[in-house]
Amino acid sequence: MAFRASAGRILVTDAADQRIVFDSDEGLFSATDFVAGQITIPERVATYRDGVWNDVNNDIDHPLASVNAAADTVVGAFKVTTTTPQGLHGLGWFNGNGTYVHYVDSNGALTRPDENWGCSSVATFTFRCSGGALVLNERVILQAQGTLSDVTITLRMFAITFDYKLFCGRFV
Amino acid sequence: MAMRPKLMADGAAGKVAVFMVDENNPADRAPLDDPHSHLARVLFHSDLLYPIIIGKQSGTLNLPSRSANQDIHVVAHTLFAHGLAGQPLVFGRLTNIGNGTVPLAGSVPVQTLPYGEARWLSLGADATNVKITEMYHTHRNLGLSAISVNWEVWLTNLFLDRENPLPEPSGALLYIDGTSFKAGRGKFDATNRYLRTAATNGEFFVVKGRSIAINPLTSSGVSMWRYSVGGYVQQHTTYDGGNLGDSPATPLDFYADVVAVRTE
Repeated sequence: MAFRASAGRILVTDAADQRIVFDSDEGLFSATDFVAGQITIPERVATYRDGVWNDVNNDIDHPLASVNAAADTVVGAFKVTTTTPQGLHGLGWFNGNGTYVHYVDSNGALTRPDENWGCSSVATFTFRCSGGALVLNERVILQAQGTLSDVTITLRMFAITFDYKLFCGRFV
Repeated sequence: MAMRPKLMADGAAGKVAVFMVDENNPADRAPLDDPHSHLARVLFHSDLLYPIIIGKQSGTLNLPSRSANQDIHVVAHTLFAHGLAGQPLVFGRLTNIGNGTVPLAGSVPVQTLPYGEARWLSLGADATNVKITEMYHTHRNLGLSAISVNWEVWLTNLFLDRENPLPEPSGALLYIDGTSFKAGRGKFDATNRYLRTAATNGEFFVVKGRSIAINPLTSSGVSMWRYSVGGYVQQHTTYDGGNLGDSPATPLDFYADVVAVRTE
Protein backbone atom coordinates (compact mmCIF):
# COMPACT_ATOMS: atom_id res chain seq x y z
CA MET A 1 0.00 0.00 0.00
CA ALA A 2 1.17 3.48 -0.69
CA PHE A 3 -0.27 6.88 0.12
CA ARG A 4 1.32 9.56 -1.99
CA ALA A 5 0.60 13.27 -1.91
CA SER A 6 2.66 15.41 -4.21
CA ALA A 7 2.39 17.90 -7.03
CA GLY A 8 -1.25 18.59 -6.31
CA ARG A 9 -2.24 14.93 -6.47
CA ILE A 10 -3.21 12.33 -3.87
CA LEU A 11 -2.77 8.70 -4.79
CA VAL A 12 -3.60 5.56 -2.80
CA THR A 13 -2.65 2.09 -4.00
CA ASP A 14 -3.50 -1.40 -2.78
CA ALA A 15 -1.44 -3.62 -0.49
CA ALA A 16 0.88 -4.67 -3.30
CA ASP A 17 1.27 -1.07 -4.47
CA GLN A 18 0.13 -2.26 -7.88
CA ARG A 19 -3.48 -1.17 -8.24
CA ILE A 20 -4.65 2.41 -7.83
CA VAL A 21 -7.57 2.58 -5.45
CA PHE A 22 -7.90 6.33 -5.18
CA ASP A 23 -6.49 9.05 -7.40
CA SER A 24 -7.50 12.66 -6.95
CA ASP A 25 -7.07 13.11 -10.70
CA GLU A 26 -9.88 10.60 -11.25
CA GLY A 27 -13.46 10.74 -10.02
CA LEU A 28 -15.19 8.19 -7.83
CA PHE A 29 -18.85 7.64 -8.57
CA SER A 30 -20.74 9.06 -5.64
CA ALA A 31 -24.40 8.11 -5.27
CA THR A 32 -26.16 11.15 -3.83
CA ASP A 33 -29.79 10.10 -4.13
CA PHE A 34 -31.71 6.83 -4.21
CA VAL A 35 -35.09 7.21 -5.86
CA ALA A 36 -37.66 4.45 -6.14
CA GLY A 37 -41.14 4.83 -7.53
CA GLN A 38 -43.56 4.21 -10.33
CA ILE A 39 -44.86 6.21 -13.27
CA THR A 40 -47.33 5.36 -16.00
CA ILE A 41 -46.90 6.70 -19.52
CA PRO A 42 -50.29 6.93 -21.27
CA GLU A 43 -51.13 4.99 -24.37
CA ARG A 44 -49.91 6.58 -27.63
CA VAL A 45 -51.76 6.00 -30.89
CA ALA A 46 -50.87 6.76 -34.51
CA THR A 47 -53.36 6.34 -37.35
CA TYR A 48 -53.61 6.30 -41.14
CA ARG A 49 -56.65 6.72 -43.38
CA ASP A 50 -57.13 7.89 -46.96
CA GLY A 51 -53.62 9.23 -47.41
CA VAL A 52 -53.56 11.04 -44.08
CA TRP A 53 -51.07 10.03 -41.39
CA ASN A 54 -51.57 11.16 -37.81
CA ASP A 55 -48.19 10.40 -36.32
CA VAL A 56 -46.94 10.49 -32.76
CA ASN A 57 -43.75 12.49 -32.28
CA ASN A 58 -43.20 13.00 -28.55
CA ASP A 59 -40.19 14.33 -26.69
CA ILE A 60 -41.46 14.72 -23.13
CA ASP A 61 -39.64 14.89 -19.81
CA HIS A 62 -41.80 13.31 -17.11
CA PRO A 63 -40.66 14.65 -13.69
CA LEU A 64 -39.85 11.99 -11.11
CA ALA A 65 -38.02 13.60 -8.19
CA SER A 66 -35.78 16.36 -6.96
CA VAL A 67 -32.17 15.25 -6.53
CA ASN A 68 -28.79 16.77 -5.70
CA ALA A 69 -28.19 19.75 -7.98
CA ALA A 70 -24.78 18.41 -9.01
CA ALA A 71 -26.00 14.92 -9.91
CA ASP A 72 -25.74 14.22 -13.62
CA THR A 73 -25.66 10.43 -13.88
CA VAL A 74 -28.39 7.84 -13.35
CA VAL A 75 -27.72 4.16 -12.69
CA GLY A 76 -30.00 1.50 -11.32
CA ALA A 77 -32.84 -0.53 -12.74
CA PHE A 78 -36.39 -0.41 -14.00
CA LYS A 79 -39.10 -2.80 -15.09
CA VAL A 80 -42.02 -2.23 -17.41
CA THR A 81 -45.59 -3.45 -17.29
CA THR A 82 -48.05 -3.04 -20.14
CA THR A 83 -51.70 -4.07 -20.39
CA THR A 84 -50.91 -6.10 -23.50
CA PRO A 85 -47.32 -7.39 -23.62
CA GLN A 86 -44.98 -4.98 -25.35
CA GLY A 87 -41.28 -4.33 -24.96
CA LEU A 88 -39.69 -5.90 -21.89
CA HIS A 89 -43.05 -6.37 -20.16
CA GLY A 90 -42.93 -9.11 -17.54
CA LEU A 91 -39.25 -9.91 -18.05
CA GLY A 92 -37.89 -8.36 -14.89
CA TRP A 93 -35.53 -5.53 -14.07
CA PHE A 94 -33.13 -3.88 -16.50
CA ASN A 95 -30.22 -1.51 -16.41
CA GLY A 96 -31.48 2.05 -15.97
CA ASN A 97 -28.44 3.75 -17.49
CA GLY A 98 -28.69 4.92 -21.11
CA THR A 99 -31.72 4.62 -23.34
CA TYR A 100 -34.24 1.78 -23.29
CA VAL A 101 -35.82 0.84 -26.62
CA HIS A 102 -39.36 -0.24 -25.83
CA TYR A 103 -40.81 -0.68 -29.28
CA VAL A 104 -39.69 -0.71 -32.92
CA ASP A 105 -41.62 -1.32 -36.10
CA SER A 106 -41.14 -1.15 -39.84
CA ASN A 107 -43.75 -0.23 -42.40
CA GLY A 108 -44.09 -1.48 -45.95
CA ALA A 109 -45.29 0.14 -49.13
CA LEU A 110 -48.99 1.02 -49.45
CA THR A 111 -49.41 -1.93 -51.78
CA ARG A 112 -47.37 -4.32 -49.60
CA PRO A 113 -48.33 -3.54 -46.01
CA ASP A 114 -47.20 -6.89 -44.63
CA GLU A 115 -43.55 -6.30 -45.47
CA ASN A 116 -40.92 -4.59 -43.30
CA TRP A 117 -39.25 -2.09 -45.62
CA GLY A 118 -37.67 0.34 -43.22
CA CYS A 119 -37.76 1.34 -39.56
CA SER A 120 -40.77 3.62 -39.14
CA SER A 121 -41.55 3.66 -35.43
CA VAL A 122 -39.25 3.78 -32.43
CA ALA A 123 -40.21 4.26 -28.78
CA THR A 124 -37.37 5.07 -26.39
CA PHE A 125 -37.20 6.05 -22.73
CA THR A 126 -34.27 7.53 -20.81
CA PHE A 127 -33.83 8.25 -17.13
CA ARG A 128 -31.69 11.34 -16.73
CA CYS A 129 -30.91 13.97 -14.15
CA SER A 130 -29.60 17.50 -14.30
CA GLY A 131 -30.18 20.76 -12.50
CA GLY A 132 -31.56 18.93 -9.49
CA ALA A 133 -34.33 17.11 -11.35
CA LEU A 134 -34.68 13.44 -12.19
CA VAL A 135 -36.92 12.82 -15.19
CA LEU A 136 -38.00 10.01 -17.45
CA ASN A 137 -37.63 11.22 -21.00
CA GLU A 138 -40.14 9.83 -23.47
CA ARG A 139 -38.94 10.00 -27.06
CA VAL A 140 -41.53 8.22 -29.13
CA ILE A 141 -42.18 8.23 -32.87
CA LEU A 142 -45.07 6.15 -34.17
CA GLN A 143 -46.16 5.97 -37.79
CA ALA A 144 -49.05 3.74 -38.79
CA GLN A 145 -48.90 1.53 -41.86
CA GLY A 146 -50.50 3.07 -44.94
CA THR A 147 -52.79 1.05 -47.18
CA LEU A 148 -54.90 1.43 -50.32
CA SER A 149 -57.95 0.09 -48.47
CA ASP A 150 -60.57 2.51 -47.19
CA VAL A 151 -60.03 1.66 -43.54
CA THR A 152 -58.36 3.30 -40.56
CA ILE A 153 -55.05 1.68 -39.65
CA THR A 154 -54.00 2.08 -36.03
CA LEU A 155 -50.60 1.64 -34.41
CA ARG A 156 -50.82 1.55 -30.63
CA MET A 157 -48.15 1.77 -27.96
CA PHE A 158 -49.98 0.56 -24.88
CA ALA A 159 -49.73 2.46 -21.62
CA ILE A 160 -46.48 1.61 -19.83
CA THR A 161 -45.96 1.48 -16.10
CA PHE A 162 -42.31 1.96 -15.15
CA ASP A 163 -41.19 0.77 -11.74
CA TYR A 164 -37.77 2.26 -11.05
CA LYS A 165 -35.02 1.98 -8.46
CA LEU A 166 -32.33 4.48 -9.31
CA PHE A 167 -29.19 6.00 -7.91
CA CYS A 168 -28.45 9.53 -9.06
CA GLY A 169 -24.93 10.76 -8.62
CA ARG A 170 -21.81 12.17 -10.09
CA PHE A 171 -18.24 11.18 -10.78
CA VAL A 172 -16.29 13.51 -8.49
CA MET B 1 -6.50 30.67 -8.46
CA ALA B 2 -5.04 27.16 -8.31
CA MET B 3 -7.05 24.30 -6.90
CA ARG B 4 -5.30 21.58 -4.90
CA PRO B 5 -6.58 18.37 -3.35
CA LYS B 6 -6.68 18.44 0.44
CA LEU B 7 -7.05 15.53 2.85
CA MET B 8 -8.85 16.58 6.01
CA ALA B 9 -10.29 14.69 8.96
CA ASP B 10 -12.46 15.89 11.83
CA GLY B 11 -12.38 13.42 14.68
CA ALA B 12 -15.14 15.12 16.63
CA ALA B 13 -17.50 15.03 13.66
CA GLY B 14 -16.29 11.61 12.54
CA LYS B 15 -15.66 12.80 9.00
CA VAL B 16 -12.77 12.49 6.61
CA ALA B 17 -12.63 13.89 3.09
CA VAL B 18 -10.44 14.68 0.15
CA PHE B 19 -11.57 17.79 -1.65
CA MET B 20 -10.32 20.59 -3.83
CA VAL B 21 -9.40 23.87 -2.21
CA ASP B 22 -8.12 27.15 -3.56
CA GLU B 23 -4.49 27.31 -2.46
CA ASN B 24 -5.14 30.91 -1.46
CA ASN B 25 -7.86 29.75 0.92
CA PRO B 26 -6.34 26.63 2.48
CA ALA B 27 -8.54 26.81 5.59
CA ASP B 28 -11.67 26.23 3.53
CA ARG B 29 -13.43 23.16 4.96
CA ALA B 30 -16.91 23.64 3.55
CA PRO B 31 -16.83 20.40 1.49
CA LEU B 32 -15.87 18.47 4.64
CA ASP B 33 -18.76 19.95 6.62
CA ASP B 34 -21.40 19.78 3.86
CA PRO B 35 -20.37 17.51 0.98
CA HIS B 36 -23.80 17.47 -0.69
CA SER B 37 -23.69 21.22 -1.21
CA HIS B 38 -20.15 21.16 -2.59
CA LEU B 39 -20.23 17.93 -4.50
CA ALA B 40 -18.30 19.22 -7.50
CA ARG B 41 -15.26 19.83 -5.24
CA VAL B 42 -15.47 16.59 -3.26
CA LEU B 43 -13.10 13.83 -4.32
CA PHE B 44 -13.95 11.56 -1.40
CA HIS B 45 -16.11 11.98 1.66
CA SER B 46 -16.93 9.48 4.37
CA ASP B 47 -20.59 10.56 4.37
CA LEU B 48 -21.13 9.69 0.69
CA LEU B 49 -22.13 6.37 -0.76
CA TYR B 50 -19.72 4.71 -3.18
CA PRO B 51 -20.58 1.50 -5.03
CA ILE B 52 -17.98 -1.17 -4.32
CA ILE B 53 -17.30 -3.89 -6.88
CA ILE B 54 -17.78 -7.21 -5.12
CA GLY B 55 -17.62 -9.62 -8.03
CA LYS B 56 -17.18 -10.03 -11.75
CA GLN B 57 -18.48 -12.71 -14.10
CA SER B 58 -17.90 -13.27 -17.78
CA GLY B 59 -19.16 -15.58 -20.49
CA THR B 60 -20.45 -15.95 -24.02
CA LEU B 61 -24.05 -15.68 -25.13
CA ASN B 62 -24.87 -17.43 -28.39
CA LEU B 63 -27.74 -15.83 -30.23
CA PRO B 64 -29.36 -17.69 -33.15
CA SER B 65 -30.01 -16.36 -36.62
CA ARG B 66 -33.32 -14.60 -37.14
CA SER B 67 -35.20 -14.86 -40.41
CA ALA B 68 -36.28 -11.96 -42.62
CA ASN B 69 -39.51 -9.96 -42.28
CA GLN B 70 -40.00 -10.57 -38.56
CA ASP B 71 -41.95 -8.12 -36.46
CA ILE B 72 -40.67 -7.34 -32.98
CA HIS B 73 -39.74 -10.33 -30.81
CA VAL B 74 -38.29 -10.45 -27.30
CA VAL B 75 -36.30 -13.35 -25.81
CA ALA B 76 -34.73 -13.50 -22.32
CA HIS B 77 -31.39 -15.27 -21.73
CA THR B 78 -30.21 -15.98 -18.19
CA LEU B 79 -26.46 -15.42 -17.77
CA PHE B 80 -25.87 -16.63 -14.20
CA ALA B 81 -27.29 -16.78 -10.70
CA HIS B 82 -25.58 -14.07 -8.68
CA GLY B 83 -26.06 -15.71 -5.27
CA LEU B 84 -26.62 -12.43 -3.43
CA ALA B 85 -29.30 -11.75 -0.85
CA GLY B 86 -31.14 -9.17 -2.90
CA GLN B 87 -31.29 -7.36 -6.21
CA PRO B 88 -27.86 -5.88 -6.91
CA LEU B 89 -26.81 -2.86 -8.90
CA VAL B 90 -24.81 -4.25 -11.83
CA PHE B 91 -22.74 -2.93 -14.70
CA GLY B 92 -21.75 -4.78 -17.83
CA ARG B 93 -19.99 -4.60 -21.13
CA LEU B 94 -19.57 -6.50 -24.38
CA THR B 95 -15.96 -7.33 -25.10
CA ASN B 96 -16.19 -8.49 -28.71
CA ILE B 97 -18.40 -5.68 -29.95
CA GLY B 98 -16.89 -2.36 -31.01
CA ASN B 99 -13.56 -1.87 -29.25
CA GLY B 100 -14.57 -4.13 -26.36
CA THR B 101 -15.82 -1.45 -23.98
CA VAL B 102 -19.43 -1.18 -25.16
CA PRO B 103 -21.52 -0.85 -22.00
CA LEU B 104 -24.59 -2.95 -21.43
CA ALA B 105 -26.45 0.26 -20.65
CA GLY B 106 -29.99 0.63 -21.85
CA SER B 107 -30.66 -1.15 -25.14
CA VAL B 108 -27.54 -1.93 -27.13
CA PRO B 109 -27.78 -2.70 -30.87
CA VAL B 110 -25.32 -5.47 -31.67
CA GLN B 111 -26.48 -6.06 -35.24
CA THR B 112 -28.11 -3.41 -37.40
CA LEU B 113 -29.54 -3.80 -40.88
CA PRO B 114 -29.14 -0.86 -43.28
CA TYR B 115 -32.85 -0.09 -43.12
CA GLY B 116 -32.87 0.32 -39.34
CA GLU B 117 -34.04 -3.08 -38.17
CA ALA B 118 -31.74 -4.44 -35.47
CA ARG B 119 -30.99 -6.84 -32.64
CA TRP B 120 -30.92 -5.04 -29.28
CA LEU B 121 -29.57 -6.40 -25.99
CA SER B 122 -30.49 -5.22 -22.48
CA LEU B 123 -28.76 -6.25 -19.25
CA GLY B 124 -30.87 -6.90 -16.20
CA ALA B 125 -30.70 -8.37 -12.72
CA ASP B 126 -33.35 -9.47 -10.28
CA ALA B 127 -33.03 -11.00 -6.84
CA THR B 128 -31.78 -14.28 -8.31
CA ASN B 129 -30.31 -13.98 -11.78
CA VAL B 130 -28.41 -11.71 -14.11
CA LYS B 131 -29.71 -11.87 -17.66
CA ILE B 132 -29.60 -10.35 -21.10
CA THR B 133 -32.82 -9.84 -23.00
CA GLU B 134 -32.77 -9.77 -26.78
CA MET B 135 -35.20 -7.69 -28.85
CA TYR B 136 -35.17 -7.85 -32.63
CA HIS B 137 -37.07 -7.21 -35.80
CA THR B 138 -35.93 -7.73 -39.38
CA HIS B 139 -36.21 -6.35 -42.90
CA ARG B 140 -38.41 -7.91 -45.58
CA ASN B 141 -35.35 -9.30 -47.39
CA LEU B 142 -32.71 -9.43 -44.69
CA GLY B 143 -32.53 -11.47 -41.52
CA LEU B 144 -29.90 -11.45 -38.80
CA SER B 145 -27.05 -13.95 -38.79
CA ALA B 146 -26.20 -15.90 -35.65
CA ILE B 147 -23.85 -14.04 -33.35
CA SER B 148 -21.94 -14.80 -30.16
CA VAL B 149 -21.37 -11.95 -27.76
CA ASN B 150 -18.80 -12.04 -25.00
CA TRP B 151 -20.08 -10.32 -21.87
CA GLU B 152 -18.63 -9.20 -18.57
CA VAL B 153 -20.76 -8.18 -15.60
CA TRP B 154 -19.67 -6.39 -12.44
CA LEU B 155 -21.70 -6.87 -9.28
CA THR B 156 -21.76 -4.07 -6.74
CA ASN B 157 -22.51 -4.01 -3.03
CA LEU B 158 -25.55 -1.77 -3.56
CA PHE B 159 -29.00 -3.32 -3.53
CA LEU B 160 -31.95 -1.93 -5.40
CA ASP B 161 -34.64 -3.58 -3.29
CA ARG B 162 -33.77 -1.86 -0.05
CA GLU B 163 -32.15 1.17 1.46
CA ASN B 164 -28.36 1.20 1.38
CA PRO B 165 -27.22 2.84 4.59
CA LEU B 166 -23.61 3.84 4.98
CA PRO B 167 -21.62 1.04 6.60
CA GLU B 168 -21.41 1.04 10.37
CA PRO B 169 -18.29 2.95 11.37
CA SER B 170 -15.49 0.84 12.78
CA GLY B 171 -11.84 1.50 13.49
CA ALA B 172 -9.87 4.69 13.19
CA LEU B 173 -10.98 7.77 11.33
CA LEU B 174 -7.81 7.53 9.29
CA TYR B 175 -5.58 4.47 9.33
CA ILE B 176 -2.43 3.93 7.34
CA ASP B 177 0.15 1.18 7.65
CA GLY B 178 2.40 -0.67 5.27
CA THR B 179 -0.37 -2.67 3.63
CA SER B 180 -3.60 -0.82 4.21
CA PHE B 181 -5.28 2.53 3.99
CA LYS B 182 -8.65 3.09 5.60
CA ALA B 183 -10.57 6.31 5.99
CA GLY B 184 -13.85 7.30 7.56
CA ARG B 185 -13.80 4.43 10.08
CA GLY B 186 -13.70 1.81 7.37
CA LYS B 187 -15.98 3.48 4.83
CA PHE B 188 -13.09 3.77 2.40
CA ASP B 189 -10.71 0.85 2.26
CA ALA B 190 -7.79 0.34 -0.12
CA THR B 191 -8.67 -3.33 -0.41
CA ASN B 192 -11.94 -2.41 -2.18
CA ARG B 193 -12.54 -1.74 -5.85
CA TYR B 194 -14.44 1.41 -6.65
CA LEU B 195 -16.04 2.70 -9.81
CA ARG B 196 -14.04 5.67 -11.02
CA THR B 197 -13.31 7.69 -14.11
CA ALA B 198 -10.58 6.36 -16.34
CA ALA B 199 -8.13 8.67 -18.01
CA THR B 200 -6.58 5.49 -19.42
CA ASN B 201 -7.53 1.80 -19.47
CA GLY B 202 -11.25 2.43 -19.42
CA GLU B 203 -13.22 -0.78 -19.02
CA PHE B 204 -16.64 0.50 -20.05
CA PHE B 205 -18.69 3.65 -20.33
CA VAL B 206 -21.40 5.08 -18.14
CA VAL B 207 -23.90 7.17 -20.08
CA LYS B 208 -25.19 10.54 -18.96
CA GLY B 209 -28.66 10.77 -20.46
CA ARG B 210 -29.52 9.40 -23.87
CA SER B 211 -27.56 6.72 -25.70
CA ILE B 212 -29.88 6.78 -28.73
CA ALA B 213 -31.28 9.63 -30.81
CA ILE B 214 -34.30 9.24 -33.10
CA ASN B 215 -35.89 11.52 -35.63
CA PRO B 216 -38.86 11.12 -37.98
CA LEU B 217 -38.68 11.79 -41.70
CA THR B 218 -42.37 12.22 -42.42
CA SER B 219 -41.86 12.63 -46.15
CA SER B 220 -40.61 9.07 -46.38
CA GLY B 221 -42.42 7.40 -43.50
CA VAL B 222 -39.10 6.48 -41.98
CA SER B 223 -37.81 7.03 -38.46
CA MET B 224 -34.08 7.47 -38.32
CA TRP B 225 -32.13 6.37 -35.25
CA ARG B 226 -28.52 6.44 -34.15
CA TYR B 227 -26.78 4.79 -31.21
CA SER B 228 -23.40 6.32 -30.44
CA VAL B 229 -21.60 5.46 -27.20
CA GLY B 230 -17.87 5.85 -26.71
CA GLY B 231 -17.07 5.46 -30.40
CA TYR B 232 -19.40 2.51 -31.03
CA VAL B 233 -21.96 3.62 -33.59
CA GLN B 234 -24.95 1.79 -35.01
CA GLN B 235 -27.50 3.54 -37.17
CA HIS B 236 -30.07 3.48 -39.87
CA THR B 237 -28.30 4.27 -43.15
CA THR B 238 -30.46 3.36 -46.14
CA TYR B 239 -33.95 3.83 -47.57
CA ASP B 240 -35.65 0.85 -49.13
CA GLY B 241 -37.18 2.22 -52.33
CA GLY B 242 -38.59 -1.08 -53.51
CA ASN B 243 -38.49 -1.27 -57.32
CA LEU B 244 -36.85 2.16 -57.38
CA GLY B 245 -33.86 0.78 -55.53
CA ASP B 246 -32.08 1.82 -52.36
CA SER B 247 -30.87 5.31 -51.58
CA PRO B 248 -28.59 6.54 -48.81
CA ALA B 249 -30.06 8.22 -45.74
CA THR B 250 -28.50 11.20 -44.02
CA PRO B 251 -27.28 9.90 -40.66
CA LEU B 252 -28.28 11.68 -37.49
CA ASP B 253 -25.67 13.78 -35.73
CA PHE B 254 -25.58 12.39 -32.21
CA TYR B 255 -22.92 11.37 -29.71
CA ALA B 256 -23.94 10.25 -26.24
CA ASP B 257 -22.39 12.06 -23.30
CA VAL B 258 -20.37 9.35 -21.59
CA VAL B 259 -17.81 8.78 -18.85
CA ALA B 260 -15.10 6.19 -19.39
CA VAL B 261 -14.75 4.22 -16.16
CA ARG B 262 -12.67 1.46 -14.66
CA THR B 263 -12.65 -0.67 -11.58
CA GLU B 264 -9.12 -2.09 -11.75
